[in-house]
Amino acid sequence: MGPNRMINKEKRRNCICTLILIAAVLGICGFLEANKYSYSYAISIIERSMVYAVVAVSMNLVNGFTGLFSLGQAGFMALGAYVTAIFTIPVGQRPSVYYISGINPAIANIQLPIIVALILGGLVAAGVAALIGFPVLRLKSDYLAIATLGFAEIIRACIAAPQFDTITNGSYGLKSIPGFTNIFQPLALSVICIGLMVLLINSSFGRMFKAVREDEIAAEAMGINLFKTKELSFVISSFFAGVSGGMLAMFMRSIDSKTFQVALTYDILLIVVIGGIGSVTGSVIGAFIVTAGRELLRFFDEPLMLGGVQVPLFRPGFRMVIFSILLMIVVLFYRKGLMGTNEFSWNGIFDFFKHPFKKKSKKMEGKA
Amino acid sequence: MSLTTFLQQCLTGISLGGAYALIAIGYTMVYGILRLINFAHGDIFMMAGYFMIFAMASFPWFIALPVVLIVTTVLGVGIERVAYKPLRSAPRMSVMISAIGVSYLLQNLATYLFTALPMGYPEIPGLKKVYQLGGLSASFVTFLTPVLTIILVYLLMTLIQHTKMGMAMRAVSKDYETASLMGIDINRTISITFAIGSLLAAVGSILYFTDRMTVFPFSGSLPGMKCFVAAVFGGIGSIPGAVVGGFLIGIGETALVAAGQSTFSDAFTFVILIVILLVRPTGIFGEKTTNKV
Amino acid sequence: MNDNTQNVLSMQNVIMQFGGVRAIDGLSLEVNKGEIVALIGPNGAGKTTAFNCITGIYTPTSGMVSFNGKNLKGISPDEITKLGIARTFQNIRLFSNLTVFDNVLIAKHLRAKDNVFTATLRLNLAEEKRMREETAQLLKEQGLYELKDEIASSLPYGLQRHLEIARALATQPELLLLDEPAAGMNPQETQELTDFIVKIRDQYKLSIFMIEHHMDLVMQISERIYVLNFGKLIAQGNPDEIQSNPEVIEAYLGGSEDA
Repeated sequence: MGPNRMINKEKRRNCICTLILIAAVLGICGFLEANKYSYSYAISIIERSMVYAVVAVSMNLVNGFTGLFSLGQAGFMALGAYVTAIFTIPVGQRPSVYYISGINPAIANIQLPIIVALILGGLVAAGVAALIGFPVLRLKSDYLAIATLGFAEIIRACIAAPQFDTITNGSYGLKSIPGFTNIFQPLALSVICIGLMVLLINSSFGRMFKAVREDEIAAEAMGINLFKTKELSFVISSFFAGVSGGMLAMFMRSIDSKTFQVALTYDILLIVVIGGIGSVTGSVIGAFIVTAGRELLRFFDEPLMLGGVQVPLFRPGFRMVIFSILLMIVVLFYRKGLMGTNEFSWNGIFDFFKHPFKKKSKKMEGKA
Repeated sequence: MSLTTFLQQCLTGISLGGAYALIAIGYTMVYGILRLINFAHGDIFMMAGYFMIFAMASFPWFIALPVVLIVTTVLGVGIERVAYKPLRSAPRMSVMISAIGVSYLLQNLATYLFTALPMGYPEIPGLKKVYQLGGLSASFVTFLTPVLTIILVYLLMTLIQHTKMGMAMRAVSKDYETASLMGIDINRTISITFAIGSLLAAVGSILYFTDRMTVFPFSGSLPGMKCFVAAVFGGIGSIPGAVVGGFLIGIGETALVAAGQSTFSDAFTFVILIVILLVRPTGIFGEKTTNKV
Repeated sequence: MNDNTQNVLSMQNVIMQFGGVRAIDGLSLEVNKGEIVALIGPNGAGKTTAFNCITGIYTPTSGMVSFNGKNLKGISPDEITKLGIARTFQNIRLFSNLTVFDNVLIAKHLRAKDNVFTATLRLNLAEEKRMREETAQLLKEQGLYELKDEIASSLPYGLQRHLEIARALATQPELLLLDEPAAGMNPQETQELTDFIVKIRDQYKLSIFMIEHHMDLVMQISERIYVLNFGKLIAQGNPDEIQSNPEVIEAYLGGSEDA
């Protein structure tokens, strides 16, 4: 069989596999949706995973693909969440939400459709990121991390501040946020968001990001404007972090500034590290593994009886200790995470099953 | 505000600043040697608080005190050996993630072992006794903190400038590889750096928590970040700078709380951080370095 | 004094001061169109610093660097590359984890007419196609096409250097700065490189300015040589003049042969 026919056979096989996968995903979602009440726990895990997948990919965009160690995700999510919430809480319910200080008249009656509110949330986050980028992106990696973390905290302080009570409801938070009407909403949103980011990463601009990550000085010497490239990556990542924040607001139905503490950024970092820094597939898989894992590991929090004897150590809090230890193990021994920098490919999967023990040789032999 | 109240607030600020200074030194020393922001440092400080609670419950104070200092130091050195040493040749992001991981682990461990509810901090005899100085009244520990800080910093500077180990530390922070080629035991030097940092954090925790009176698993994270900002402000790698930074942040925070803006007192620290990174990233006492291309 | 329109590159009295150290002290030189000019001198003489002043990584403390008559002061390195100056580095700076093809493809982007939206939504297919074709073309000319999918850091050292030069060529420069291109090469590889440099100068109509320690390479193909020591120019001329210059010999401490 000639090489061209081989490639066409492969392409056809891959297409069919992709279609089967899409059908399977839609089928599973449809099934869950039809049996909403029996599977509400599973549905909530899946929805939360989808939200985290979007923000994990956005963090990977700026950290893994552009090499900028940014820890500001929680701040941008907060911005997106609050903007979305403010404009989607039904107008009639707003006075009861803002029961302490009343609502700012400018926003009291504006109600936006969900998509518009989400995009607006993303734009606000992106705008703030653009401003922050100017001072912060010139910094070396360690300082960049702390500076972005600092800005996230400043954003949170502003959200919680009594001065902005009429907009953000200060420390009382916002509630009565309309939720997802069905599982297909977050599915569609996350597929679109992640899809756009993947398109970006594989485009000429995505290559520029990778060049900046690999070697800044060489990238500059090849005509790439460092600041503009970093700013672009940072702003786009923040846009999607904002959108995912809006999605989180819809998922949780009520939010306050405590939702967006640094711990949230660390959670996303955990997902990115476990999935593999530099792999979109890894971030998506990581989001599901970590979110589901957290729930499944709940049994570590309950006292355990084995044959009538109480096993020591099993009590509340053990679950998170196990989680932290797992993270340390990944960081110390499996630095590349689950996927390393590889992405999902049907060829990869079929190759794996054909030659499960074949090792890829690293250095090339021979001379030019 | 009357003069006495103002001076009272100053005293509180200086005392808080002293505790911050001791912790900030740990950050600056570790960064100077390893170019690593030890995110876990604040949590070591928190664990020291818990160690004291349990030590005081089992031993009289004059045994508990050294026990806490020793155990905290061992914890700090142990963390370096387990979580940072294996990653010494890895890209910087990996080590920082490891530090974040350790911080995460310590916080979850503390929540698991001691629950998230605040625990009462024991009283060391004599420290909480209230003294009068002119019109000012404060507990002994408030007066003690800045004095103790200055003494410890002086001792530390003497160590660094006038001993062989100090010279080794200065060499390693200037040029890691060359220092090892000159026969300096890198591992020992780094361990000693962490030991000193953790020891000072332990002292700082005693001074800090005696005033606060409660410890909870996240008591280290915010002070930790503030102390890191203090270190950056003073010039990362510079011990006098860290001390100045610590006092400044302590005084500033106290001033803001006294002025009724306590919500912003935490954000204040980050504003300082942003400003210093923009205006003078190497800090007040820092040195400029150039990159060889 | 000099007819600026003939000069591709001109440095006039450039001083580069770092704190108390003058890395370059009053350096003046020029490279004319189509020439191969070498910059030699003992280690630490300031040669790479000179390159960095030309490519915008450092801003000279005083003096002027101009390219085709245009003053390069204050222009960022990426803009300087767009003007037509490309360079390689003393310690190879490839995009290690990317493929050979991507390394060169990235260098093609500086003249692309697209923006982030057209690129993401794949509305820039014509530009993408053009860049890919030009990259493939360049790799074929350089004999690297078979390796296009290999990861850059997996290549043998000599090929990595070759790739770095190919990548620089992809930016379609007028002036190519080579920083120790023969570093770490054996005599046979050095000879191949020597022929290669002349070939690309002719093929791509370049002017070449290089820093080198391998004297056989320098003496064979350089039309003019500048000698730097402690940041100061101590001699200039053609290879014969330089080889017999006593100051040059002394600066190298008795040898013009590479050890």
